[in-house]
Amino acid sequence: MAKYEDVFLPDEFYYDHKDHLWAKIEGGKVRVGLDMFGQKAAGTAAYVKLLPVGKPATKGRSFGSLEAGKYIGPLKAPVNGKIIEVNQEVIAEPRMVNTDPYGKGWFVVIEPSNLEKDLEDLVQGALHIQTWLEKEYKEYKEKGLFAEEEKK
Amino acid sequence: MQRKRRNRGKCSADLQVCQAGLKTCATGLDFQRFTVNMQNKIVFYAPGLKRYETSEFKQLTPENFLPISVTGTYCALDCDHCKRQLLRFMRPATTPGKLLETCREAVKRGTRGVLISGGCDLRGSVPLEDFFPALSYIKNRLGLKVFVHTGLVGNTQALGLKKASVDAVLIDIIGSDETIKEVYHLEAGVAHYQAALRFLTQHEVSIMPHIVLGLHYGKLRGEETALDLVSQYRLKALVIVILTPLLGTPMEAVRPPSCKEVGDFFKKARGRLPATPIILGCARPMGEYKQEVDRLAIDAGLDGIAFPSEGAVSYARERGLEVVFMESCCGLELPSPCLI
Repeated sequence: MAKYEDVFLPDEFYYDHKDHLWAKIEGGKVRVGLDMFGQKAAGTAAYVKLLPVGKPATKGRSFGSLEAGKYIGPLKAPVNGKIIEVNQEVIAEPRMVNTDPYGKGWFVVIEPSNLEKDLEDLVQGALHIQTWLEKEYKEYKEKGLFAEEEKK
Repeated sequence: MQRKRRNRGKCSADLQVCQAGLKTCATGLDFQRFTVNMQNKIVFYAPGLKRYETSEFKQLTPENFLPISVTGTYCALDCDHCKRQLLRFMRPATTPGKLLETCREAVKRGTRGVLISGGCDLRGSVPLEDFFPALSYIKNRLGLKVFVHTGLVGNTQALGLKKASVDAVLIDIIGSDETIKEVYHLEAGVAHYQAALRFLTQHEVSIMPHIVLGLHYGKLRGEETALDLVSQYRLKALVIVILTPLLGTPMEAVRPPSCKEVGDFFKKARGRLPATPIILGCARPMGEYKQEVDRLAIDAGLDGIAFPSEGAVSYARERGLEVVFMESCCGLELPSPCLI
C-alpha cells in the first residue's frame, strides 16, 4: 500500500496518472473508481452520472461525470471496452466516492477489449505508485488544489 | 412560450429598443435578452474555485482566480446553511503578511484575480480593516483584480474599501429579519443591509450584491425584499445563487426552492433590473436541478452563468445567443482563449 500524508493507494490497482481513476482487474474484467487522492482533490461528491450498461467505454473518454465541491467534470475510462456493470448505489449516494473509494464507491465494470495494451500507460507497481503519489501530492499542495485547513 | 423561444434571435431586424433598455420585437414577440450594452450575448464563467470541464467548456487555468480566506476556517456566526464548510475551499491567509505572500506567489503562477473572503465576526462583518493596505498593494502594485466578500459594512469599512481601490464588493443581501436571526444568528436586521449598500454607494465602491434563493431552510422569504433593496442602487452586477444543502450542516436535508420558484425569480429580477447585468452565480444544487435552472436562467435573459451545466452552452446557442467564456469570477473581465 502506497501512503503519503493522508492518502493511501493500494499496490494491486492501476491508476490513471492524470485523472486519478483506479482500475482493478477482476477475472479479466476491470472495475473502475476514483482513488483517494482524486476524491481528496475533488471534495465531497454530490452528483454522479454514468453511461448505462452496454455502452462502449473508450480509453481517455468520458464514461460519466462527477460534480463535487471542488470538481465538475468527466470521468474518463482507463481502458477500452464495454460497460457491463454500473454502480447504482453510488449514483443514489454519491458520497460513497469519499467514504469508501476502494469499496462501495466504485463506478463501473468494463469488459476490456485490449487490456494488456491499455494497462501499459497506467501507473502500476508499488514503487512507481509511491513515487507518483508523492510527486502529485506535492504539486497539488503547491498549487492549492486541495481544500486546505488553516495551520495553527 | 415555445414559439417565443424558437423565434428568439430570428427577427433581429424588427428589434426596437425601449427607454428602459429592453429589446422588444415589432412582431409582438417578447425579446427579453438585453444588457446595458444591448448585446445578444451570454457569458459563461469558470472561476478557479473548482476544477471544471464539460464537453462544451473546459477551464484551462484553474489558478487564474484564487479564493482566499482572511480568517482561515473561522467564523463567529456559524450560519446554518454553511457551518464554515465553504471556507474550507479557500486558501487561508490570516494576516496581511500572509495575504501578500499568498498573492505574490499566485502572481508567479499566473493568477490574475483574487476573491478576498472569510468568516464573519459577531457583527456580521468580515474583519478586513487590518487588510486594507494589503488589498491596496495587491490591487495597485501586484496588478491583481480584487473582489471582496465583506459581510455587513459601515461607513469606515466602505471608505477603506474605496481607498484600497478594490474592483468590487460581493455582499449577500438578506431581505428578512427572521432569516438574519435564525439562519445567520445575527443580531441585525434588513436595515443594516440597506445601510451597507448605502455606505458602499456613497463611497463609490462597485457593488455586486448576491441574493441567495431559499436561504431560509429552502423557503423563499426575503428574496423579493432583497431585490427591492438592491434595485435602489447602481450595481456592477446582481448575482443570484441558490441554497445548496451542504453535508454536515443543519440544512443538509433541506429541499432547495423549486425550479419554478427560481425561474419566476429570475424573471422578476430581469424585469426590475433591465439595464444591470444579472449573473447566475456558482452556488446552486447540482445534477438535473442545475441543468433545469440553467435553462431557466437563459430563458429569462440572464447575462451570465457560472460553472454552466452540461448542455447549457448549446441551449444558449440554440436560442441565438453569442456565447463568451471566461475563466474568472463572474463580473471580472478576463477574456479567455478557451472557446471550444
